[in-house]
Amino acid sequence: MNVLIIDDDADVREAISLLLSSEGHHSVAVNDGHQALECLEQGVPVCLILLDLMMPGMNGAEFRAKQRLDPRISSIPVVIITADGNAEGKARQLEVDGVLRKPMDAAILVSTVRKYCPADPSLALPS
Amino acid sequence: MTGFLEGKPRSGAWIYTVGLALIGLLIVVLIARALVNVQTLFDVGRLVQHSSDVEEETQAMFSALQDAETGQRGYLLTGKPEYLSPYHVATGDVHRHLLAVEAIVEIPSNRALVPRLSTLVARKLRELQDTIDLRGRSGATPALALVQTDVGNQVMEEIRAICNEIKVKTRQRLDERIIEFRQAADVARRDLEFGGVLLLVLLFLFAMLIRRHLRARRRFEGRILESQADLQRALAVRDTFLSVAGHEFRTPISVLSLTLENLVRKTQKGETLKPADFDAPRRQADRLARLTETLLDVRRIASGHLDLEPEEMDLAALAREVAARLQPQALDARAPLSVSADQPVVGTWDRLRMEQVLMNLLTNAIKFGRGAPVEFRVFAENGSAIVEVRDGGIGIDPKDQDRIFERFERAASVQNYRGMGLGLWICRELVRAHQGKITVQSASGQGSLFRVELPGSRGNERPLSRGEAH
Repeated sequence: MNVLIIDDDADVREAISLLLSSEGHHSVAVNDGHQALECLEQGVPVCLILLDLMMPGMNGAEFRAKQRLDPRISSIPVVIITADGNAEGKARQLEVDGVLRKPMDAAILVSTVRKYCPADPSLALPS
Repeated sequence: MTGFLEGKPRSGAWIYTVGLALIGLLIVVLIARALVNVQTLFDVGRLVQHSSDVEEETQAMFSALQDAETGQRGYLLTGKPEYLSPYHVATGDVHRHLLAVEAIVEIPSNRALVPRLSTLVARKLRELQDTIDLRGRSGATPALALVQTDVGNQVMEEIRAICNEIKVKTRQRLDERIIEFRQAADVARRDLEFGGVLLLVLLFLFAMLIRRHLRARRRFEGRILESQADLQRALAVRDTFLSVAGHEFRTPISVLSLTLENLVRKTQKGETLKPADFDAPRRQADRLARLTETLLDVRRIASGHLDLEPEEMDLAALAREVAARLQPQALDARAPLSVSADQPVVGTWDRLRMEQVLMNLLTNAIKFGRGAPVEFRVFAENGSAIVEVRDGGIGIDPKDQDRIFERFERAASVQNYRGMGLGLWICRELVRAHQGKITVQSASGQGSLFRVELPGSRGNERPLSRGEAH
């Protein structure tokens, strides 16, 4: 199972992917809502969606609206990652499962992912 | 927004003061003239009473004198003492009424007649008394002989004439006063008509002045409300900017924080760190530096302290360098970036500021380009350096095309595009500082062409067409 990272900033996607990888989580990263929907429609198994809000193309709110309407993917938990000052308000508005405010704390990010996704011990870096 | 108090209406106290003073003065004049007329009316009224009194008293005195003469004649003819009783009563009345006439006569010409009247009355009374005394001493014949001398009758006629003269002169005076009164009444009527009209005109003008003053005050209050609205809009823009700026800073800090965590973990696991591991933090550190510089530029430009350091440089070479630096970003956005800047375009400009302009324009083209190709051209034309950046992105509605060059303004949705609304404003200010200009041709949904013209170029003037680009 993968964590689907949706963020238009390549460095953000890379940093999150590397961190999750070091914790034994597989991830797929895309840069907007369109690519995320394409990815999900292709059947990529996803246990959690980390969703940025402000993106060119299809933004986070538009993606969330489409995801909720599609019964095949509507049950996938969504946690928004945003630099928006009103992150909690946006989370309530979009009825998501959680919110992580940028700048993100690595430990909180990892513990949030762990709630939804099992780690793959073979992937984690050897301690 | 500044200077809105310039239109502040004066307090208006002088309008009220002058207006009220004029109206008050007019009312005082009207009242004074009315008082004069009322006084004339009183005078006439008093003169009517006086004339009546004078006429009454002179008539009464003359009648009493006739009564006394009647009593005298009765006694002279009959010798009966009872005829003397009415005589005595009448002589008393004569004295009383003569005193009254002497007291009340005012008209100088009449007063001049009073001594003569008194003398004649005294002479008449003495003549009556003399005949009565003669009748008592010598009988009827000598007394009647004295009466028949007609002296007494002549005195009576003279008294009658004087009484009539007094009455006529008094009436003449009354008539004169009545004429004066009528004239005064006419004046008073004209005063009231003219003064009333003037008062109405003044009141109307005063009301107009007050109305105008109140309108000016309402306009001023309207401007204050507009200024308050402007202030509210400025505060809203500031709040939005602070929110967006915070957002802009959070993302690179987030990357730095997570990347550092990743590097620490790698180190702890004994992995060897590679130079590429530091690319992301370096990019984000650069991004933070640019954000900081952008904020500092706002201050520099707003305070007029944008100091340029011009040097001879090749804008085409700088364009190629900037484009190369932004290729990874263009690739990430799936927006192919083509560069046409083969010929040197040399001029004297501030290299860092030109780099900033090119970076801003290209970054925007990639950001708003929706993955469509971005064309970047630099060439010389008519002694000017021309920079053109064309994208096939979301475009800009014509109504927003002036606004996007203003500070904190942005046309694109904040739900899709990050940014502080400063890039194009800074571009415009930097280009203007080089005596150049920046323009845009665009339509909503049809991409944009930004064009910068910088004077003072020495380059090969051979602009490449779109077909030649890349």
